[in-house]
Amino acid sequence: MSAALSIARVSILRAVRRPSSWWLSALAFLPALLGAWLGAKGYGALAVPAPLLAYVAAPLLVVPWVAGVLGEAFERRTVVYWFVRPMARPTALLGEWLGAAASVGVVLLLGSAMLAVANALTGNASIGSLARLPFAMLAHAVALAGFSVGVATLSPRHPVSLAVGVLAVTEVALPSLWAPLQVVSLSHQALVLAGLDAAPLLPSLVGTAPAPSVGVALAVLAIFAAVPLGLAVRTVIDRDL
Amino acid sequence: MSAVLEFVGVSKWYGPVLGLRDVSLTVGKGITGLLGPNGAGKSTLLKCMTGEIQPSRGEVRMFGRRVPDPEVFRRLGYAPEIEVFFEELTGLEFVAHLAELSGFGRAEADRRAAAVLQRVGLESAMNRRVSTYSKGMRQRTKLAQAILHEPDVVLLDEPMTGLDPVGRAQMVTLIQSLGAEGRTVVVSSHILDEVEVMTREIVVLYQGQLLAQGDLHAIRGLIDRHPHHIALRTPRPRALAAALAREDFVAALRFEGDDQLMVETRDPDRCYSAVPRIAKEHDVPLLALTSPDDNLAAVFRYLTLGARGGAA
Repeated sequence: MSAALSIARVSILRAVRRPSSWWLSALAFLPALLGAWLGAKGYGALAVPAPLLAYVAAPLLVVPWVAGVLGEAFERRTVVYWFVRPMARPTALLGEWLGAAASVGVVLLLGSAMLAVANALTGNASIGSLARLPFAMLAHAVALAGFSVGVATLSPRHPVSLAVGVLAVTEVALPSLWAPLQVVSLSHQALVLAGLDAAPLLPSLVGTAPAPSVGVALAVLAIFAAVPLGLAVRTVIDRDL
Repeated sequence: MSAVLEFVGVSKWYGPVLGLRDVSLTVGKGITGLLGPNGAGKSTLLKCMTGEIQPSRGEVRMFGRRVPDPEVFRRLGYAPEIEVFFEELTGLEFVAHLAELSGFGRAEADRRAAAVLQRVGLESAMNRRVSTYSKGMRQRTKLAQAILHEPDVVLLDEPMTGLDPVGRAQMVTLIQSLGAEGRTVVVSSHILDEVEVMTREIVVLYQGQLLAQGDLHAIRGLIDRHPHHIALRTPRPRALAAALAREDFVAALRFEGDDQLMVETRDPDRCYSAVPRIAKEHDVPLLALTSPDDNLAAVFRYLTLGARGGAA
């Protein structure tokens, strides 16, 4: 475990020192600015910015931050420095996940907290949204980080495009084809966790959306992270580098 | 020689491309030079030792344990050929991080990292980010992270690449000191002279095949059964050629430029002793007598020519 924590700590340190992290972090705060502006104009501060944060900003922030960097580490073989140490290879993935989840989690937590504050200050406050939105986005970040670590390990050459492709299917294509498939949407479930209106990004062609359930949302988030991570662990154990 | 490292019938295919072909060898304590041109399979061999890649056939054992094995990794240090690190870290942070992964606590990892970076001559740059490091500094950093935990086996993939002459000399000294400490050091290189300076124990690979293993001089002796070349520099090469043509140890003569005569012989010892005497008898000034075969490059060239089925 100490090896995983060391990798996590270094992952955070590297992220803090990477200029691209700071640019990507700005994505997490744009919905808050938009929310403040919309709230000041008398519109709901969350109606558009919250889905924007969940569906667009969070994936655009997390995928390059996590999958891009880890994929590059595999491609450039810097992971070799980890894999010739006396630890199981999956420990490195666990460490990367912990570090990535912590760093992107803090950024999304802060971005969504600012959005919740903007919502509160513009008269549309609800205590529930103030508390639930940041923690829902934190959970969203943790799941996306796990998903990204898994994708980067499974496809180190094109991790970002593969991750974006998968998210385009689960977040947009499937729910817009058949409403019950909203259940596979990570962003949808994050909004459910936040207690917000979780309409699909695009209207569904057919079907009725399932009733929101916090339990289902948590399960989907867990599965979304666990399946790619599990496949990655299986792959990395005996894969040639 | 007791085997620390053992390859038993190891083959490796990358799809249809053969990386290693049925390699069996043992490596004991001390420094072993792993030689071969680019694409010979040196890195593949080292990667099999570190468990980075799995052999398609056969097995690699270290200390009697099959690689990869966490216990083996406690006793193994590896400097890969890659030039990149975690570029956002300082040299000290990078090495200390890897020390932690080797099982040391934070304080001990920091202490060891500082000490080993000092040993490789990076004490003044250890607090700079590795993104600012030169190629030579990167080589030293790679060596530092490989030896920080005082491993019994150190694998160095092309450690001389990018070093200036002073840096090369320092690296050779460092590697020799590791061998003198009783460690098993495997150094891959295609810079033959440098390997020759470090060790007489060599392994020669060519196109994934093990061509030769053993003492450089013993392997070098193989050459003496084949034509040996001696270059003679003289202002009168034709006169010297006429004198030498009568000698039975001369197999062939060839002019190279206006002042050089290349002698091919199957008896180099007689040739070396006779040529100056013959030149003096015929009043031909002999400015230089050298042999392009008198180094590891010749051994290598001879062996690889043999592997290609060419005349040696």
